[in-house]
Order: sequence, then C-alpha cells, then structure tokens
Amino acid sequence: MSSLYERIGGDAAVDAAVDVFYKKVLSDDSISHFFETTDMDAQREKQKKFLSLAFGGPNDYSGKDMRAAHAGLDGINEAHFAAVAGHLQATLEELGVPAAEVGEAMAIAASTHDDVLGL
Amino acid sequence: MTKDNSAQDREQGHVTVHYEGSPVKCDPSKSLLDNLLEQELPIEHCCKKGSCLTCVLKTEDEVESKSRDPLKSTLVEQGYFLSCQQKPNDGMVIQSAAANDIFEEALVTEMIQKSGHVSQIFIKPYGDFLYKPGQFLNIRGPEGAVRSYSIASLPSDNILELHVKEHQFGIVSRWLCSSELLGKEVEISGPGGDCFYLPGKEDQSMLMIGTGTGLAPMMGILRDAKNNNHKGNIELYFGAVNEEGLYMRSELLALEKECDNLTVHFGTLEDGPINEMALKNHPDLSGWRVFLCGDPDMVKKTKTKAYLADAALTDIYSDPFDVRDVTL
Repeated sequence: MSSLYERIGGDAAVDAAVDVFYKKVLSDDSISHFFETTDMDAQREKQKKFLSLAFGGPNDYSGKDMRAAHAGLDGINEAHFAAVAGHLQATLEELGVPAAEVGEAMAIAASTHDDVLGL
Repeated sequence: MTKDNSAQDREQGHVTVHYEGSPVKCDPSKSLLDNLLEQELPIEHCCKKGSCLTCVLKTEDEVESKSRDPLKSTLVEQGYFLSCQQKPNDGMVIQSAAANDIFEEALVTEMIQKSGHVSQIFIKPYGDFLYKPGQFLNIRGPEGAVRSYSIASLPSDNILELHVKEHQFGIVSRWLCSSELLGKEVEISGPGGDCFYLPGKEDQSMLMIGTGTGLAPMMGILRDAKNNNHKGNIELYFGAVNEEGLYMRSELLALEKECDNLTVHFGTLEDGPINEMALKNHPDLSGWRVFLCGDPDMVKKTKTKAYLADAALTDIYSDPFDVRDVTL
C-alpha cells in the first residue's frame, strides 16, 4: 500500500500545489501579514515543506521545526490556524485530490495545531 | 567554587567568537553582523539581507552556504563570507576584510548631470571587470563607507556607467556626484546580483518597472535583450516622484524608436503609483518575465502582486535599492 504522499502524486503534486496554496494565503488579508517577506523564494520553500509534511511525505520538517517556525509570530491564534487549514483544503480540492486523501492530509495538518500555536 | 566566564556564558546561551584577535561575546540567535555591530565594531554593511555583498568578513572556519553562495569564487577561496547571513559559532576566528582583497581601482572619466539630482558617472576599471548588464558594483567612499550602484552599461561599451542620485545627507552619493572626482581613482568591487537578462526565451513578454535610478539596471537589461534578439513584447514602466525625476526621457524615447517591440510608459506621483499602472495594464502575467528595480517597498509589494497575477516566482527578478540610513 503506497503512502499518502505517493498516492497524491509525490513531489510533482506538491510543486503544483504550493503555488495554488501560497497565493491563497497571500490573498487572505486575515493572515497575509504573517507571510510578508522580502524573500518569497525561501518562503515558498517553507510552504513546500509544510505541504510535504501534510502529505506524510519525506520529512525535513518536524513538529519541533513547526513550533520554532511559528514561535515569533505575534498574536497568532485559532482563527489564523483555521484560515490556513481552510486554504490547504481548498487547494487539495481544487487540484482534484480524492476526498479520502484530502481527509488524510487534513488530519496530518490538524496534528500540527499545538506546535503552530505554541501550546 | 567559581566557574570561569566562558562556562557561565554558555549557560546563558552565549557563544564567544574571536574578531581581529579579541574575544566577542555573542548571542547565537542573531547574525554575526548584528552581534559585532552591537559591540560597536565598525563593520561596513547595508541591506542585512545577503544582497549588497558589503558585510564581508574572513574566516578559516566552517560557515553556512548562504553566506558564501552570493560571493564570487575568488573571494570564497580566500575565506570571505557575508556576516549578515552567518550566525556566530563558538570559537569562530574572524578577521576584517582587507580592502585590497575586495576592491580594485578604477578611473572616473566622465560625469553628466541629469535632472532630478541624478548624475551619469562613467568609470573605467584598470583591469577586466566582468559583469552582466543589470548587475551592481560596490564603491568604497569617504570613511570607508561602501554603497552599491547598479551598472547601466554593457561590457561592449568598455566603460562602466552608473546613475547616482545625490541624497541630501548621503556620504557616498554626495562625494560621487561632486565634480572633484573627475579624473580621480575610486575603489570598486563586484559585480553582484542576479537581476540580468537570461537568453533562451526570446518570445517571452517582459514587464520592467523601475523607479528613480532603478532605471539604471533596466537600461543595461533592455540593450542586452535587444542584442540577444529578444522578440517578445517589452513593456517598460519608468516612474519618479516628479517630472524632474524622469531623468532619461529622451534616451528612452530614442530606444523605443529603435525597437519595435518596446513600449515605454512614464509616470510621476501625480499619475498614481507606477507599479499599479503597470499591473492594471497587464493583469495577467502568466508566462511573463518581470524586472523590478528601485524603491524597496515598491519592489517588495510588486513582486507579490506579480506572483498573484500568475508570473512564476522564478521569472520575477527584483533589485531593491535600499537606502542606508545615515546617522548624523
């Protein structure tokens, strides 16, 4: 039985997804300020790592990294987490990922909740 | 029993580096540059982003690749690295940059005053100065201050052309724009930056937005594209605060006459932000190449907007002209 990452389409799928996801996030005024940066290429790489994580793919990005990456973010809260999760789901659905796989990816994303919010 | 200072420091999370033979206590969460500046050590720097290549220091110890990647191999071989892109490692031994290693002499041969306090400055390097049109060089000015200026010329011009705006309190810009420099030598280093034309997609549409002296690299890139027979549509947007600031109107109009695929648009603050004008005229940038030079705010915002207009991130070339704050 292949992994979720393989079933979704591996690195190529993640690469297709990252621009869709990143643009949704940048266009959302409730969270875009968290993503303001002069280095968009580095930021895109981080998004790609997050998406790989959400697909249970090769893991460069641990829970500890997620915690450290979000530690400095002033005022980050449930609504922000929910907004980003929503964009992840919308991205997967837009790319035609089957419902079961979307569910699996969203469960993995949900598991990052405490690390992201520093709880 | 008392512990020695270094053990105490490590407990508090501090590390110690050796700079020019003296120990310096550092916060490992901050860059080496910030740590040394906090100790009031006079390290030349500007952008703190790894772009301007000014904050070079020397070490034989291991450093991160991002502090080395932007530098040319001759400097890397000598142990140079960018101190703003490196965290202090315990026990690191660092030396300051030797001007001889970094800078070479060049002669200021001509200066032309344009409108809007901008001067065209022509510099002849004594040695070979290899660069791609659109890259920048660093100049060492009074008090050892280093600033970056984009190159407006082509290598085939056999002269380096800079467009320098004289800032009211600018240490280097005022010195550069003064006629006393004519016939004198200056110290330059570089080139740096990856805002240049890459051949291979000659049918690609190109959007170029430059504000103020952000036009300088655009001139080089435009001529480079023309020499490479770029066939795609080129839309150049040149913006300035006021009419005076549009310091190269006639030259651009002449270039437009020569190239049937080039359209030049001018805009001042009165007309509204030039980047918004450009994005309104070209709302779908999928497949386009985008060059953004000048005001850092404009460059940053427009990069995001161009990406959202579906330009690929790898097709967006940006060159923010950070202005170094001068403490008086």
